[in-house]
Amino acid sequence: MSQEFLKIHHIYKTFDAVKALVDVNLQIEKSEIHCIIGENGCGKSTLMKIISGVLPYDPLEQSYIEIEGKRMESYTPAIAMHAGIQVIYQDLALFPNLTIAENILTPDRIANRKHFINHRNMHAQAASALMEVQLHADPSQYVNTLSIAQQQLVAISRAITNNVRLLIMDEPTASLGKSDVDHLVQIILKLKERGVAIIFIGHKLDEVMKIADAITVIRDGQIVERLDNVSYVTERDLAKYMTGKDEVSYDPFLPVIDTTQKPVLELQQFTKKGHFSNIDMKLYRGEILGIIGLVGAGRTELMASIFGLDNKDSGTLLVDGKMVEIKKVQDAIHHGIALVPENRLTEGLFTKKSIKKNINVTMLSALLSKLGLLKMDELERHSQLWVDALKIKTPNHLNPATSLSGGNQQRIVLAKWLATHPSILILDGPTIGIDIGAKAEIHQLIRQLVQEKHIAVIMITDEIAEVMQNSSRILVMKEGQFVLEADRKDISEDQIKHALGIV
Amino acid sequence: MNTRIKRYVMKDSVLYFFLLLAVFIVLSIIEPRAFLSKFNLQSMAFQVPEFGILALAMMITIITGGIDLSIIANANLSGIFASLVMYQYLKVAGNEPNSAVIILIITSVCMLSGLVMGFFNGILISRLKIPAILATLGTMKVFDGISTVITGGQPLRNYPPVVAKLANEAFLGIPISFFILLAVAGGMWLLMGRTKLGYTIYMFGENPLASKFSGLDNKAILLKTHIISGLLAGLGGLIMMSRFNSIKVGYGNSYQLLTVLVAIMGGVHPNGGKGKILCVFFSVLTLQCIGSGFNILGFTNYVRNIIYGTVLILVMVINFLYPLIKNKLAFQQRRKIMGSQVPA
Amino acid sequence: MNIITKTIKRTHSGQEVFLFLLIIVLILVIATISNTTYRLENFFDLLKSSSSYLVLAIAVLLVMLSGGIDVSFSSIAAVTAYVTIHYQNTHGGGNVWQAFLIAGLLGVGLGAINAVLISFFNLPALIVTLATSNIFFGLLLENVPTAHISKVPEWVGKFGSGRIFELTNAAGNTYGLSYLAFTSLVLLAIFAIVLRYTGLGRNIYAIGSSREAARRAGISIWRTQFFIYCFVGFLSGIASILNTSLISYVNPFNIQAVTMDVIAAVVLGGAALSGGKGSIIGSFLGVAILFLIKNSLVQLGVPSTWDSIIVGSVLIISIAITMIRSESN
Repeated sequence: MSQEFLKIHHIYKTFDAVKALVDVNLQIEKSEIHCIIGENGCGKSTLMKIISGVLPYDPLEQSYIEIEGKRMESYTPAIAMHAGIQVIYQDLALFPNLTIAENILTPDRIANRKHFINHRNMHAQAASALMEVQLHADPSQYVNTLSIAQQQLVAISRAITNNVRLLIMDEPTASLGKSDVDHLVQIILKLKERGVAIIFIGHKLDEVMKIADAITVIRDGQIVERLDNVSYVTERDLAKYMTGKDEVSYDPFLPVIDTTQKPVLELQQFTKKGHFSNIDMKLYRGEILGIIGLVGAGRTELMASIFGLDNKDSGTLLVDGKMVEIKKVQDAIHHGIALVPENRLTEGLFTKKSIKKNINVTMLSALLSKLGLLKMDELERHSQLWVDALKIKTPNHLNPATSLSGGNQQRIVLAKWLATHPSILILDGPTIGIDIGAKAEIHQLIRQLVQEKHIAVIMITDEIAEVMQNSSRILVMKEGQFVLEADRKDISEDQIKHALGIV
Repeated sequence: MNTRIKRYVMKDSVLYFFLLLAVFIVLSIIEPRAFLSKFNLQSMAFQVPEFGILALAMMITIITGGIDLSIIANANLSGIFASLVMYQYLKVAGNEPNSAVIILIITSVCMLSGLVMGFFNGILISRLKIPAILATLGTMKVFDGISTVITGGQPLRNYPPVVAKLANEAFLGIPISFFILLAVAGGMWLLMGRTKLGYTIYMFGENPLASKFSGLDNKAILLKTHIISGLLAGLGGLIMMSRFNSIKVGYGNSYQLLTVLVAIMGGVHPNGGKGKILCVFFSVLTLQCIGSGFNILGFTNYVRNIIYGTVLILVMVINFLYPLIKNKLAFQQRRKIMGSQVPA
Repeated sequence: MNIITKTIKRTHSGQEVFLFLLIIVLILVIATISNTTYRLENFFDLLKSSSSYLVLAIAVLLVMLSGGIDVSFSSIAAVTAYVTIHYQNTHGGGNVWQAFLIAGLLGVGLGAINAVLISFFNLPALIVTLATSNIFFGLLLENVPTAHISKVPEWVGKFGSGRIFELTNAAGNTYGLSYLAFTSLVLLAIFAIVLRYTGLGRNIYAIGSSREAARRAGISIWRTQFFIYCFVGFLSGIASILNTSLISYVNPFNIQAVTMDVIAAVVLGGAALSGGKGSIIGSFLGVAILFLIKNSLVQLGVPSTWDSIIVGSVLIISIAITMIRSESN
């Protein structure tokens, strides 16, 4: 009997005038862990939506979907679900203030048109589903009391309960710490044993390579490469397939730092229960300090405390050698600290507002006339200045921020903060969700800034490559503490991996 | 030159002005004698100030992503407080009350009490983080309740004649209260368009999280917004006092719907972050013309409410459909210009 | 005992327990201060006079659970009360079942209008219902010179004063569970069951909890919302008949004025504006507190003009407490 579960023939998808997918052919076998990778906007989400039936594909003669050898004449979400295709989206789509049991069994209830609820049955069914994914929780617990990793397991047990034959997971490890990732991989392997096919969309290439049986690379709506023998593939190969370009090689950033000067920022014994403890850190002008850690290490929380978004329990903060109290964001800005946050679209930008309004928002007090009114021509000039300085690609700075690509959106956020002339620039995941080409440009920009403006930069990242390429000094953070500190020239990738515990 | 004119014409406020013009012209054609009569025009000018001021008060609270259901109650109570203080003064002043002092008293008491009530709302919403709907629902009941206890539900009357002059006398043919409206609208336009507070109100309404991350003081923005809307509500109360020559719990209750309607009609987004003073101002005038037209055509109060309610729904449905249509048209345009490959 | 512990455990926020205790405290305080004793007959009386509020509270709860809001229910009730009684007056009097039928159906029709606008056109619920509230009430008053009806059909008085069972107290007066209270209790029970044990009920919670997750799970948002707003109309119709029977009079203005009070009671009972949280028991307790407060003001000799201030303050304080409690969580 054929091992094939899903076969897609010549699928095209066009939105108005945009060709999102062109002649896509894909074959997924049972018990196969198939990873699909590609840059943002390459079409992988569109493809997943078509596979799950949520989006219809272009009705051309040669396009059809085959499940277990049977050609599907019409294809809807209900049909896909009935065939056993389940999707776990990145946002998990759980009901926060309903119980675990209800979350797991609602799709089943809807699909089987159950009009009456037997809570005891639900509880029992949920309990056994939780056992399958080894989640030790009471089915009557409310989902919003669980951690992200636990919620993810609930989402998976939801899929399992509803008779999954093909499980599609969209960036499942994005917010998971190491042990949670291991647990997840275990569950995936268990599913594989049961004959379930798995499509795994990821961007952490090292992870992808570890668990994939087969890898498909999508670029600009087309399948450019399908690799069935993963053992000989390297990350650089994958990156090259994804972008179509050779990797840009970096010279390491090795500035000469004068450590006799006062550090521009110093933390002494920063502690916040449950997030970070006894953090000592010195930061000098001219350096890029890379802080690398896995999810849950406490990096973002530490930066939030420095920037005034959150409070700390204890510890001292010194700017240019003087002790300062930072209770709110305005205090931080006053002391020359700027933060480019992790979530560009929800924290960093006012997406529906114009580029100009976004850039000017931090400098309003400085752009007032004697009467206390805003100087409109100054606002215009100020915005245009920064658009040009950071080379933000837009025909008009009155366009909304949503009209730009990820990389350019990040430049807006950088612009608004550079306008405050900070001496300390904190970048939290500055290149997340940005294409490899644009990534390199942003890295160049940061280096330039450090050198020209003589500021200090803290760069937080998950990616070892990024931290090695850009930092002059590296700190490894694990479970709320710094476990390794070294100058770039004195450290290797392996040492970092070892310190993170992911060898 | 052409594109400059085009861009100017496409400006929202200009479109709303043309809408006002269109309504005015249509009504003038339908009932030229009645509508264009000095009586009617003056009548409209007398009625519009309180409506306009209350609408502006409602508008800024919606822009912050909330709503203020207590505006009318605030206006009434402010008027009641002002009346009480005025009564005291009249007792003290005996036979020679000073008109200027009376005006000063009612104006300042109205503004002050409006401000304090707005401040109270602001504290509930910004410090205690109570959702605006619920907070102002509660304060609406409390303000009305205080009004009821003080007045026993009866109107306060017997004002000295100077009070009525504010809203019923004209200077150069235009009511004094209309000048007040112009001043308020002008002030609000300046506030929302040319000050840091106005700028930050829009940004906060658009995305409170990004606002926090950008170093804006969210609590202060909310508090100040409600202080201002309270102040405006107080002014509304002042004008109602003057126009009705009395004040009572429940005056202006129909404005509850109308102020929301005119704000939405004027382009204020129900979810916050958007809305222009000028557009709402022109919508206020437009609605006043329509209301006047209804009067002339003999519609009763109730039919008016039916029509306003229907218009509000129609406007929202159009707002819902308009961007969809605009996108479709834009896409078709770009397709024509750039051929089949258009980047998303 | 098991049922009690399970029920207490199930009250997620503890709000209901809190309210129940609050009621006990209130009763004790009032009894001490005003020297009145709360007997069983007072309890039955309160149930009777709050019956229409209880039914309206169910309606408001349904909407809030789904994450929406509706301020037009009182206008719907005003319209159905008038239309039903007027029809019966001009068509031979009728009976209570006919009244429920007419009022209920008309209510469903009006509620369906809300349903279409909010569901299909995706318009903000607060503003839509603000508009329809004015439209419905306006239509009533436009077509009717005086909207009061003082002469009501015969059955009204009989239904309003009738009791399911009767008891006699020491002074020889009878009291008991009135038909009105019984109706509202039956409806409360039915909807409690619907919300907990039927797919529709769970869907309502699901939509309020996370609209997106509900959509992905295959729940039809449109269909559920349609049901909700139709139920609201239906319940408003029933409530209007209960109110009419209580006072043997139709006063649309008074009916229309209860909007904020009912919403306040439901919020007091633990329903969250954002949806997904709340229960029938909570709403019942919320209405109970509202009426206890009003009743105790009467007992304490406080003039009715103070009602608004007290209710408003109670609403604000209770929400503030809820906010502070959830902040510390």
